Amino acid sequence: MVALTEKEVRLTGFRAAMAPRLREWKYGLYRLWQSKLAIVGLALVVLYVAVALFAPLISPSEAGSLDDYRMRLHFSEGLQPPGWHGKPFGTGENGIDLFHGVVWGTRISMVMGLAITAFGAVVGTILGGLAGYFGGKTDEAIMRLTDVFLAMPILILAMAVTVALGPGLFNIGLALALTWWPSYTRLVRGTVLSIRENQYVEAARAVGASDMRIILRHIIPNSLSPILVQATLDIGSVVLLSAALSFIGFGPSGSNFSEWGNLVSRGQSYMLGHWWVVTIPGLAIFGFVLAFNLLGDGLRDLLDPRLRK
Amino acid sequence: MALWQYVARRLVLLVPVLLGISVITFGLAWFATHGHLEVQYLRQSDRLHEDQVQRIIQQHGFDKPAYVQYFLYLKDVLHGDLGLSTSVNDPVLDVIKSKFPASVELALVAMVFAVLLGIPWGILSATRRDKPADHVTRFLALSGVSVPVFWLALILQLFLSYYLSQQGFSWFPLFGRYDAILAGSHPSLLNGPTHFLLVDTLLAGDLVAFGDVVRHLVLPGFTLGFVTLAIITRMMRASMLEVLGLDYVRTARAKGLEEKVVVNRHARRNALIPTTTVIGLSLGSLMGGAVLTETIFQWPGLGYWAAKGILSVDTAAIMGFVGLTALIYVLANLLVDVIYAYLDPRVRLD
Amino acid sequence: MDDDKLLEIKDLHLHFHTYGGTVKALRGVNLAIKHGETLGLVGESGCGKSQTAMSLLQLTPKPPAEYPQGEILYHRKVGRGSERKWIDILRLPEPDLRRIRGNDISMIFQEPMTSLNPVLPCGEQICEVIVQHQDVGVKLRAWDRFWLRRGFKTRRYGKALEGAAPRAIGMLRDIGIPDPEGLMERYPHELSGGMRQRVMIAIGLSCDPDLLVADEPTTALDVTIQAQIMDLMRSLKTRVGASILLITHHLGVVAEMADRIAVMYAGRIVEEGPAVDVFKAPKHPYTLGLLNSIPDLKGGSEEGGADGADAGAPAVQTAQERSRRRRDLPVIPGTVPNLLNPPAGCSYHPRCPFAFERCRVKVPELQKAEGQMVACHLYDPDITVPAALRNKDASVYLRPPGADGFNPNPTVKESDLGGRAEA
Repeated sequence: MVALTEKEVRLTGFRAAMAPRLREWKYGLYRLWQSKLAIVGLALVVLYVAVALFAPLISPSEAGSLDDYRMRLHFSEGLQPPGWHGKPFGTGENGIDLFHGVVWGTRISMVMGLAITAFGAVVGTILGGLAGYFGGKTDEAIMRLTDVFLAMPILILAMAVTVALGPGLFNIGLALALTWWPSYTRLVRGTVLSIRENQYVEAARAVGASDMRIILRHIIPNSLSPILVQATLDIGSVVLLSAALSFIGFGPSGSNFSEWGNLVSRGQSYMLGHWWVVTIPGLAIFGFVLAFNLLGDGLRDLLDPRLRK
Repeated sequence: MALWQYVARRLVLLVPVLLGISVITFGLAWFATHGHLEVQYLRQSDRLHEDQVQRIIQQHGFDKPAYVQYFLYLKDVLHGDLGLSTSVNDPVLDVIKSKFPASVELALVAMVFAVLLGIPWGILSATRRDKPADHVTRFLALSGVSVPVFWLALILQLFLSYYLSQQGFSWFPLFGRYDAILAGSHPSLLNGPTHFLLVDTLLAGDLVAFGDVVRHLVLPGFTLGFVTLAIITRMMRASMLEVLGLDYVRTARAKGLEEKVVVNRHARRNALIPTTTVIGLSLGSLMGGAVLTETIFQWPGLGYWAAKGILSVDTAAIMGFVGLTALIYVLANLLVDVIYAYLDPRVRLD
Repeated sequence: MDDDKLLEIKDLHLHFHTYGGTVKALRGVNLAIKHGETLGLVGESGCGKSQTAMSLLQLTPKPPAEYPQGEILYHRKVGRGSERKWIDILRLPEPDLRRIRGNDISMIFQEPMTSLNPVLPCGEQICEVIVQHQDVGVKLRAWDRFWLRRGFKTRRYGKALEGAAPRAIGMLRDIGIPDPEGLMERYPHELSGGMRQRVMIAIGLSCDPDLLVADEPTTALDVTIQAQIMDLMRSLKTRVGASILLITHHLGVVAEMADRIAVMYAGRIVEEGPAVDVFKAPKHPYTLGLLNSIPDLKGGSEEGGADGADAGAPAVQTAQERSRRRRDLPVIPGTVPNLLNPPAGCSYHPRCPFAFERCRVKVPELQKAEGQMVACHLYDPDITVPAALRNKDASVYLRPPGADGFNPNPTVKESDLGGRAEA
């Protein structure tokens, strides 16, 4: 039991009950503020989200482009350095505007990251929850499946799936989504197992709470924070992998598609002597992943109960 | 139980996992080729008569259902026949044998680099918690796990190889394992007994060639090892911090031992335990990263072969590579578990 | 400075700087241990007993912790003779501190399950402290120390450990372990809690220290094992001749072992004296409450229900009332104060049934009261001790349900206590 301070004891009723909890939240905010890295991460994430949301405003598509994501080719304006004629990031092969590419690529990466992570998290959580809660054969089956998936390095697995499915952004997304769930399954299963043995779950069951109620009221709230931390970190990892797959050649076809991996891949042939075609889109990837990793790390430090006090 | 019993048990448990991997590998290839591509290809070829096509189909069992083909595939694999790699026109097994040393040499260099730097840095960061050294290390490590491997490779090529050469410092070459021109007069680069060039050149006493090999190893090795270095540093820091707060560290201090002895003799060994697990897992990312790194540096290894195979839909190559990677990964983790059991006597009671 | 004093803590203050403010863990601790005596330090969880112990060896990490005031004076052996010198542990540089740890003053901890290093064999863990402080016939050179500091054993170091082994085995045998040689090879996880604690004791006593600090040595063990360990410590006490600082919240343990007892509350010593006296005649209201909250198998507390003369009590007690009072266990109302913001004046006054105005304002100093030292204003020269306290009547702690432990007893006024005839 948390020792109440003299001041707190003098409060009555609801305020008295809330006082220790409010103190914990104030503590949480204080710690968040303390972690300057987490703040930087948060700021960067917000920046990327803003760019993704306001892409049409930041870099309106030129007239005559096929769609927002395909940049117009200007054959005579190829490979100009940043700052040339108002193109902040310069141009790549065939005069594609790298600024436009990076800005709209933010949307792609944001969507890929969020969608794939969400899918993996949901599927993995459900499977892990089932495995942990019901144990026995369900557990065995799910864990064997997870083991096999985890026995292969993700990039290799994703590559293999992409080969089977064929190139294209959607297929990359599908491949990654299919291979991403195992880590959540392990995570959630572990949490469920530890909580299941907890006294208060036994107590709830003794009082007659149904399985569903136990899952909803006890298990899920307690598993949330590790899942949240893992998901934040995963958004970055997913984008890294999808950019890698796109770089290898599985991504969208055509040299003028606004996707970071694709831009780097196309730029590779011309990079010697034109550093910006490769450096800048790659920097965008790096910044994105760094942002989410900073945030995820910060969240992890924040939510880890052992590090409290 | 004794260590060897533990190892034996783990080896036995390996079999179902390997089978599972073979199923997935086969399944993916089957799915990719829809099982019928070979048949269609054969049918489309003008040079083959219909009868000949039928005979080939029957010979290879292409008309049989999927699970039968799977067993045929397994049978072939166990006999050493992994198919023909169409991108290089050699049997897959031979390709693997010939390209193995190049990849392993690179991977070893990367791993050694990562481990030798990562562990001390992690300890340093933990013992100087919240001081400047800690913040710098943490930020660098975080950058390490955030950086795209292919981009890092390109950046290094661009700035440390190309632009440096432009300024007159040709320290680091752009591609390959060795200088092709040099190979003419330094046979140890080509004929050596092991095909591990670092070893071969030293065995031949050829220091010029050795220097050349080292120069070619720097950029790819650094690229490949960088992410693993970051992972190891982070893990070591985290586990050191945890261990340093434990009771037995306090006991060690209460005995009057020097702080360095407490950290390095008592705390470190315990902190290494979770780190070895991470090292095993990162071997997997090493395999993956190798594909990208080797491709960019045109390093003649398995990863480069796989990348080319993917782009040219060389089914046998892809299956071979995926299966091999999985096998290596699984074995590496077994090794890690054995080391874990060696380090932590508690586990042996398993 | 008395010559029979081994260690004296004077006005020790310890502050922890945390997010919410400064926690004042120790607020003026005054304590002394004589040569060869066993001092029991008792108090509730959180009162600062462990922190006092850790301060003796300076095991508390200094950045969050700070010692703004006070001294820890230790009468340390100088050279091989019987000459001793007083030093202040708080001002000692790290190398000297290390020479004291494990050697002159050693400590055993509360959790035997986690106090030993899981990856090193027990034998090594015992021998290493011997090698560190004593001569085992193998002299370690700079080379050995160099590698030791990097975490590796040189062959000479291994020989040194072997040289220390006979001594370790002898120690283990004295402690009553049946197969000492076998134990040396085993790892901590192969031993039970009681055995691990014995290993800890062996480590603690191996260098023949002046003072053994035992921080709740039996709390984490089963009751039967507790008894064994206590027996062991009692026999060691007579044989070894070291002083023992026994810290515990278990009054039964203290009763068996201690020569003197010090009672601690909220970072200060509130009562101190010979064990027998403190048990028989507790002077501080807190000690009174503490001793009388021990459940008695017969029901109620041992001293509940005053049968002695007390003119303030109702003249007639029905049999019913008396039996009810015997069944009720006096419990000190309220909780330990939060050391972020401790009460002003006497830390105990919010829970004390005898508190009056002075208690809220002025911190009581330890003063003589018959055979003991007490920090309580009720023993100030101008105040008469209330009869209930004098008669060890703990029924004052039996309050009607709903009583708020934070209101000082409003019925007791200073004027009531000063110069009043016995009432």
